Amino acid sequence: MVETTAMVKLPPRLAEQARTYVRLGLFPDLDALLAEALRRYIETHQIELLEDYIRQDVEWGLHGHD
Amino acid sequence: MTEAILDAGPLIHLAELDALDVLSDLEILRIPAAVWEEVANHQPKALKFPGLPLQRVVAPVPSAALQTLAQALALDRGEVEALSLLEIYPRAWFLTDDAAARLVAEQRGCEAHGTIGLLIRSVRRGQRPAHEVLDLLRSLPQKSTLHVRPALLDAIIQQLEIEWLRGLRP
Repeated sequence: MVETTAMVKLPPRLAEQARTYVRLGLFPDLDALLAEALRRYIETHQIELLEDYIRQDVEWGLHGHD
Repeated sequence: MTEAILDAGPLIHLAELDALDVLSDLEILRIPAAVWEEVANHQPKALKFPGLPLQRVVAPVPSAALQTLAQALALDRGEVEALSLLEIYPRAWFLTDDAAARLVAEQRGCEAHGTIGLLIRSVRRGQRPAHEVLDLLRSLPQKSTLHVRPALLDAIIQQLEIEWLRGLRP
C-alpha cells in the first residue's frame, strides 16, 4: 500500500510537546508520533457510537427532567 | 443536588465556544487531577471561569476491572481518573465527549452527557436563549475542536429550530 504524505500545521505548544517525545526517544521522529496519534484517535472514536450519544444528548437537552 | 465529574472534552469545548456558563447551575464540578492538567495545558481559561464550582480532586487508584476496561478501550489517564471517581460518586453526572469513556460509565449505571447536550439543556433551563445556542452550534466547526459530522450537525440544528420555533408559537 502506498504511503500518504501530509503537511500539518501544529500550534507551537503542541509542536514543542511532540518534539519532546521525539527527543526523549519515545518515537524515532515526528512522522511516527503523528501516525501513532492518528491511529489511536481513529481506534478510540467509533463514529456510530459517538453519534448515537450525541442524538441521546439532544433529546436529554430538549426534554430531560433535571 | 446535581454534581458532576468532568472529563477534559466539555471543559475545553465549552471554553472554545465561550459557553462555560452553561455549567453554572451545577453545584459541584469535580475535576480529576489528570484532567485538570490537560485542561491547564490546552485551555487554561476554562479553569479560571468565574462562578464555576470547580474542585480539583485526586482520584483513587482504579479498580482492577476499570484498569482492564481502560486498557481494552485505550482510555487516557484523565478518563480513567474520572471513571474511578465515579466509583465513589455514582450519582454524579459524568460530563465527557469521549464515546468509549461514556460507554464504560453508562454500563456502570452512571448518567453521562456531552457538550452538545449541555448547550441544548441551557435553553431548557433558561440560562441561554435559543437563538444564541443555535448560533453556537452553527459556529461549532470554526470555533471548537469538537468534531461532529456536518450532516449530523445540520440535522440537529434543524430539529432544534423546529422544536424551539414551535414552542414560540401561541
